[in-house]
Parts: sequence; structure tokens; C-alpha cells
Amino acid sequence: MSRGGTVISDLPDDLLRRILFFAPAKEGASTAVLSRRWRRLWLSSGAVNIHWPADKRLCTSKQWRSLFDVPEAALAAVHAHGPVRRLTFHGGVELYRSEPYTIVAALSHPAARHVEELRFTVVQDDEAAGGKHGNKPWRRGKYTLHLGDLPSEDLGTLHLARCSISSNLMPPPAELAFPWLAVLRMEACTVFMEQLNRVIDAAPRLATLHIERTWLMLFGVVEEVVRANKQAPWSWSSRLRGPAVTALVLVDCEWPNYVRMDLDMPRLRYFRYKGHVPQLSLLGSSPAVNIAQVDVHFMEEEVNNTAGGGGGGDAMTTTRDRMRSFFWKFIQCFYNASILKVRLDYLIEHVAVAKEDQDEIICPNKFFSNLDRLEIEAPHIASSDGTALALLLSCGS
Amino acid sequence: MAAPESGDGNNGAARMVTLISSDNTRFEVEAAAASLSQTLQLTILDGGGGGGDGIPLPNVDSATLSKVLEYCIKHAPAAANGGAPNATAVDRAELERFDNEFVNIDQSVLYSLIMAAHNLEIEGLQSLVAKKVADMIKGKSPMEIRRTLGFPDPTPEEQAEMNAHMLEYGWAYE
Repeated sequence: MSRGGTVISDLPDDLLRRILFFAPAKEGASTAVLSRRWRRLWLSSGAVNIHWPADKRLCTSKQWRSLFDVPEAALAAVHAHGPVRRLTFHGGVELYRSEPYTIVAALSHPAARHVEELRFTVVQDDEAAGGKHGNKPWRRGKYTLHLGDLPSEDLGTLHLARCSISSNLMPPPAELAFPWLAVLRMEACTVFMEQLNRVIDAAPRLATLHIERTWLMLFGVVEEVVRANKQAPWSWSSRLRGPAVTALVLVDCEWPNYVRMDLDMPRLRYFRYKGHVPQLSLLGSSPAVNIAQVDVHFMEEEVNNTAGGGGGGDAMTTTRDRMRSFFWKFIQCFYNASILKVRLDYLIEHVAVAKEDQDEIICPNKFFSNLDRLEIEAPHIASSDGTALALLLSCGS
Repeated sequence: MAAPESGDGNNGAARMVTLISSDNTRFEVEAAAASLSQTLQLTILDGGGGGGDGIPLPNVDSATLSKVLEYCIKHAPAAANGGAPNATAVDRAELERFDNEFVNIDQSVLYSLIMAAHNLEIEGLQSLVAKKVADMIKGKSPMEIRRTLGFPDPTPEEQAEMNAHMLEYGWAYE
């Protein structure tokens, strides 16, 4: 500091408040003692960020008890100096679970009523993550959120990480309203499709829907039926609505592979997908007229050897056929796109269509006539004739 | 690099503008990058900054300006796509990596940067630096925060005020 550079005291109050807008509540509040000038800066920052430890073993019992006093005290303190626009929770799952009333009380506090940005981030220590859930650690350690508890009047951005949305205690549809919600982001969450659609239905301005590493479930009953019959009913479908959604991101999400996902998003402009090749379709009279850019990244699917019990080769062929068929159905949904980027983690030959199957798989009126840019990234066999690529290119020309 | 689809009728080379720092260094950048600044965008839309004129920025020195422009150039393609999340040729993860690396700098540079971003009204850069500074005090005691932010140790008078405050806001000091 003595070198004569800019110091923090050179910044105007507006900028200091902007910094404190992102600071955890405890540390933020304690900046009041830095100097007279700082006395009210955090109080007028408009944000309450609750930052709990990732693991309860990191706190003394005295700290542990006081942790749960912070949300209400901080909300009341900031509220006394102006509206609270941002409310965030960050911490280990035990913190959320051990005193669930703390969060409910914070959310129903008068200060939280006009919150514009709300975030729940549940973190998990790495040790627990490597447990029995193997490479899908995001399936565990979640905080269950009740939709009816969320402040909704002015909410514009909702971020959930490692949360699940409770299936009971749902408010009646008429009472659920997020009139200003524009951005919904879920990471490593668990949610029933029906509930997700309820949130979307209640949010007429929802423009950005970002769902990552999330388990999208159908109602349990369906799963039971499937399990009992040991057979996949290929005709199951599930609708994902979004009347105002313009950007949709589905990355590494899971839903049963026998379920076709029907996107009902007439205003969709941008779609990014990463994961297994899903059954996907677009609903509406003129599907995807607005679509500008589609980025897809398809992963190799594990061959299910348990089905049928026949030779592994048959299962492999079945899986490949299905992947090929789903690939073309998926891609052709977006025949209006101007930018199409396709990345495959498996050989491009696996999406190639034999001449005799072309009529069945390739829909003749779905050529990519608006395509400005096509990017394809996939391993291929050097000697093969590149039929798949040719098909895509002929679509684009 | 492909031209943004919603171009301004300019199909040739990207339009360039000149910015002049407080110490008279001239920076030539693409108008699209400079337009991340709300302030500059207005001037550029009015046709300013081209040719030999240049736009003088009396509040920003050359070291800070070059850093600001590094940010703008990196973020311009994403901003050109109407701000739609991920709707860009630039990978989002790559931008995040860039941002993390970008703010890994001396405190005094951070403060100069946020001042410049404030003056030039570059929303994303203001938030990026604000978050970084907020992170610097995360998990620290009041005394550690003082030292981190370069405040001198409290005078006895200040200490007395501190104690009074700590009584009032006990929850922040447990």
C-alpha cells in the first residue's frame, strides 16, 4: 500500500457497497469497525449472504450455535437500512438440515419479501463425495426445498445447487407465482418434472433455464410400473414447458432413457445439450422457428447387457440402432438453426445411415436451409466414406 | 472469427476506435470490444473514436486501460450475442478460467480496475472485481480484514468504538 497505488479507501461508497454486496454477512457486518466511513456501508449493501462452513466438524460448539442466529439478525439489520435484494445460502448439507427452521424463518422474514436474487448452494466435502454413489456423488447430500417457502414477489433469479424440490407441501397452483422470475439455474439437483413444470408455469417471464447434472424424475409410480414389467415402454413422454424460455441448457442431466422429452418452448433461440442421445422432440405448430443456435455434445451410452440376456453383440446393435435413430430425430428437430455444433464422444460412423434406411430415418422436408455455420467434432475411422457427414452437409447446403 | 450475425452493415474489417489514456497512450481496439463500456458505446454510436480523433479517457491511466481492454476483447464475442447465456462461440468455461486468472493481481490494480470499470460503466468487470475483493475477506476475523485491506491498527478511540459495535452486532463476531 505504501507504494502509492490505489487503496480501497480511494473507492467511492457505491463501489464499496458493490463489493460488500458479495461479502458473507458476518464478515460484511464486521467491516463496520474499519472506520467511521464504513459504519453503514454493509448495512446499505442490499445483500445478505449466509456463508456456513462446509462441514460441521470445522466449528466449535459455540460457533455452531451462533451460526443459526446470523440469517435473521443480518436480514433485520440490512432491512432497517433499505431493501434486501440478494439473499444467498452457502454451506454443507448438515448445516441446512440440522436447523431447517432457520432457513424457513429467514425466507419468511419481512426483509426477504422483496428479494430479487436467491441462491441456495449446498456444498459437500470431497471425502463424502467419493462414497457409495461412485461417479455420481451429486445424487446425495441434498437440501430439500419447499416451493411455497420461497419469496416470490420480486424474485428474478433463482439458483439452486444440490437441492431437491419437495414433493409434499406444494402450494396449490393458484398460489404459486413468480411474476418476475427470468433465470432459473439448477445444478446437481433432483426434481420431478411435474414440479419443474409447475415452477415454469408460475413464471411467465422465465427466459433462461439452465439445468446441469440434475436428476429429472417422473412421478415414482411410473418408475414402479416400469420396474415391475422389466420392460421399457418406449412410448412414455414427458413435457418440459417454457412459454417464454429463449435459452435452454441441459447438461449431464439424467432421466429414464425410455422417456421422450417433449420441449414445448415456442420462443427458444439457443439450446445447449450434453449427455446421452435422448429421445427428444419439439412441440408446437411451427417448431423451432426462432432457433438460432444449437450446441450438442453426445456421449457414448453404456450397453445394457441385462436386458434380454442374449449375446452382448445383440445388445450392442440394439443400443447403436437406438442411438442412431435418436440422433437423427434430435438433430432434425432443429432444422431451422443457423448455427449447429455437434460433438460426439463416439465414432461418427455410428450415426451413419445405410442407404436402405435413409427414407425411414431422414425426414425429407427437414433440411437445414438456414444453416450458416456447422461444426462437427467426432472421432472417425480414417478409411470410411463419411456418409453421416455428407448427409448433414447436404442438409445444410 | 465469424462476424456477429446482427452486424451493423459492416461486412469488411471490424470497425476500430482509438482510446487515449490519461498519460496520452493511444490504444486501437475493435469498436465491439470498446462498446462493452456503456459510456464509450454512446460515443461510438455517434461515430466518435474513429480516424485520427480518438476518445480521451482522462481518468484512466495506460496500465489500467490496457488491462480493461484485455477484459473487453475477451468478453466482446459473448456480449455480441445479445448477452444470451452461453450463446457464443467462446466456451463459457474458458471465459471463467480467464476471469479467475484475470483478477489474480495486486490489490492496488484491482482497485484501479474497478474504478475504471465504474467510470466506463462496464457492468461485468465491476462485478468480477467486486466479487474478488469480497472473497479476500471471506472467513476472516475483523482484525484480519483490517490487515488484508491495508487499514492501520485501530487507535484506542477506534478500539472503544469497535467494542461498542461488537456489542450491538454480536452475531457478527461469534
